[in-house]
Amino acid sequence: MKQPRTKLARLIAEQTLRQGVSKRLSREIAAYLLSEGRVNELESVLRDVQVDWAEAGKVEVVARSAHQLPPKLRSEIKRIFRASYPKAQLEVTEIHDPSVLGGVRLNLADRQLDLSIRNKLDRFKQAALAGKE
Amino acid sequence: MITPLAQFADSSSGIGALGIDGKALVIQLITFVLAFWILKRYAFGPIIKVMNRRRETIEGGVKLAEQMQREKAELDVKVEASLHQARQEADGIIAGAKDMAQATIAEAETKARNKAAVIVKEADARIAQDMARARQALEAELVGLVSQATEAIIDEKVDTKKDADLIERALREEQAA
Repeated sequence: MKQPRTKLARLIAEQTLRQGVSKRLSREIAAYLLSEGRVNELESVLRDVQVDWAEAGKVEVVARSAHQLPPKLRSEIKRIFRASYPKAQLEVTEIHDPSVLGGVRLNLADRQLDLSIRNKLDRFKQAALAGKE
Repeated sequence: MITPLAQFADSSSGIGALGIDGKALVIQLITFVLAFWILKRYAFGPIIKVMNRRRETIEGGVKLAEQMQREKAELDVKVEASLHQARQEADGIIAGAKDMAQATIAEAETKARNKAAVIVKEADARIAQDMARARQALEAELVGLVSQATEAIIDEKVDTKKDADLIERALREEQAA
């Protein structure tokens, strides 16, 4: 029987909050999604896991950038979001993504802050094309 | 044997003096009367009847021919009148048909002109649309090229240090906002 995505995310969140994120658990989740033919739901499941973590007091900030972030900037990012989540345990997960070009794209459970050059370029393209129509 | 000619030659008195044998004359007269009676009794009647019938037939044929001549003349007059009327009607029909054909041609020309105008208008609109589409495509391509060039320049110019500065500035601006 197919498990609802939110239930699946809750199970993963509970397990990761208890034991932390391990390679074994990641492999098991991947295997499960593959066997069920639900690989395309991965992004949604991870977002739901982030929401469950936030409800449990753990906020993960996924930072996508073209270059490695210096520790100073990681702290700065935490400081910025501390105001929004004063009591939560904040974690910054860094992902190297050359397509961002420059700047950083920050993803939280329920919001996104896109400060990347890619975003600015996309907005420029949209504005340029929309203005011509 | 004594021939009448010999008897006639031998007679020398009365009618015989004139060379006429009375006896033979009587016999010939009786024979003639008898022959005439027989012919009248059996031949003249039917012959005259036949001749009368033929005469009547010929007269009837002549009368019929005259009547036919008259009727032919009357018929010729009627035919001539009918032909005249038919010619007049035909002239009228031809004139009407010519008028109708001219009207049809004029109508067809008007329709063709209107249709041509519509086609030209549609073609103009299509050309304008195609031009607008082509312009949009060109502009999109231009924007894409600018974007690609910008990406290439940024990729080359922005190193870890510059990227960190960029992020720091962006975060400050975000906080200020």
